Amino acid sequence: MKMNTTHPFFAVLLVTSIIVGLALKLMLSPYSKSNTLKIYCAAALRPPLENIAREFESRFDQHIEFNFGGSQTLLSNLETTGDGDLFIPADDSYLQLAEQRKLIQQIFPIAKMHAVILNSKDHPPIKNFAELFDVKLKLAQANPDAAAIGNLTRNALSKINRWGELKLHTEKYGSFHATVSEVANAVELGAADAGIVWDTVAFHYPKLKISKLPELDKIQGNVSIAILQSTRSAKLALKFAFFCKARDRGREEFRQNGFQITDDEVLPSQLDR
Amino acid sequence: MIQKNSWRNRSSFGDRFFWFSLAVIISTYITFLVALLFASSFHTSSSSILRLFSQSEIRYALRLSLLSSTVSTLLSLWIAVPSGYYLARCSSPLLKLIEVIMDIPLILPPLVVGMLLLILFQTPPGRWLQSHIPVTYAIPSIIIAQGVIGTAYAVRMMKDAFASLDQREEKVAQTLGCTASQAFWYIAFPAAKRGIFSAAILTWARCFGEFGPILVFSGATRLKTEVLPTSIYLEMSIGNLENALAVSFLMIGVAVLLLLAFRLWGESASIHKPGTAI
Repeated sequence: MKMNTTHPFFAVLLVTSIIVGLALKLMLSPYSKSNTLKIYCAAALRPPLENIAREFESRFDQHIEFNFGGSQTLLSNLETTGDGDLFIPADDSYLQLAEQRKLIQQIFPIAKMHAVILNSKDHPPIKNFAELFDVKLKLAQANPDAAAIGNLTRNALSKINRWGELKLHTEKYGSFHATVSEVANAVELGAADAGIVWDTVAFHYPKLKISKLPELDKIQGNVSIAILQSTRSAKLALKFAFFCKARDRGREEFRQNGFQITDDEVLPSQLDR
Repeated sequence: MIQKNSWRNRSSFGDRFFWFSLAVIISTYITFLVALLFASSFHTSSSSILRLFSQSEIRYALRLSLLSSTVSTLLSLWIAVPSGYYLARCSSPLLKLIEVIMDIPLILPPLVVGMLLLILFQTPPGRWLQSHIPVTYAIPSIIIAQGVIGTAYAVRMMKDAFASLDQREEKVAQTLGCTASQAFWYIAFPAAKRGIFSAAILTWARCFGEFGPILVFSGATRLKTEVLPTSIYLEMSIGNLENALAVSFLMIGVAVLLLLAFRLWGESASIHKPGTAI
């Protein structure tokens, strides 16, 4: 059988190579920067940290590369890859885990957050703890085994013997979610009537009302920044940590995003060391 | 075409009822899909969608999504077409096992695929490769993550496409002196154009919407490994549902336009080339 045209294999190979080559050229061109600080950051902390990073980059002529995600996912990732300079999880319970696995050099507390009830716009705000047990109330909570707020809620309510009851009620009439953001989104969309979330998460839902209950008062999450053992530039990582704690820079940014900042602070003179 | 004409000619109650039932099923499903979009449209606005174009992060994510999906699709087809042909034409006692192994990416949760890829590239051979080409948390990781899932889909579709072709033409060609390779390239490959085209479209769509493995294997670094599904995740994680839905609508709009264009182009190609089954 005589084949007098170009072999289809070569035609297909040529077309594919041209398309793939052009696409790769377009994709790979935008980034190739040295002096990069690699930060694993909880997705929920993106707004203040992106602003802080922008200011840090312009002031010190450094490039910051954020890897956003869920705190547990980020912890698994940095453990697997053994690469990165800083880790900022949504709650410092993940830093304790990272410390146990010897991934951390140094920790700097930045801000605090407290558990509140976020109320749906279709439901009257919760006034007391007993109202959470209303059979008509669809309560959303973060899973205690997956999210920090869920874990801390379980610990705090177990101490006053109310956890078992609330857990059963939530399982029967409400829902558990993998992350605190999913709880807040369920309330925002009306899929849940109320949810237990951090006040800093509720801050991003200005149209929804929040309720503060004495039983939830002691549930406190701490946001801290940790320098990783794997850092290639400990000095630069420390500088960024200080920048986040500086009175008129990071601290102000966190405050503007609804965080309660920690008492200790970094003075402007320490930044220029 | 023949089926459509014969449908018009048939007037019995039974036939009309049959086609009516099919129309009811398809219209119910379409109504459901439209309702999904309609309900979501109340949580965002056209100005939010237009505002997205002023954000460099979103423009970058859109470009990266389009390009990476295209590259992943082409690379997937390079594996899927020969694999599909092999699975459709060869008989081996190990064939069932091979098929099951090739289906693994479809069975596993997407996040697990991402975790497996991450672990693979931290092994000594993976680290050696990465000392030459950065993969993890870089653009190549997006293409690999999309490609792993996309290839599994494409292999399935290509196997069905080749299996549905009449094998006699290839056999006749081989009795006339063609090699197996020539029978594939000059007979089976052109005859499977329609299947390859469908596989390309569906694989591209799957890659375009891929998220789970990308989040784990590529991370969510803005202006680097952020594709449109990552943008949606980042907006949702800070409670910005309006923006998250705006990005979703942007994705839907772009995907629908491109898929429609591909299909129209495919149909016009089949009109201009009578006998070509695209």
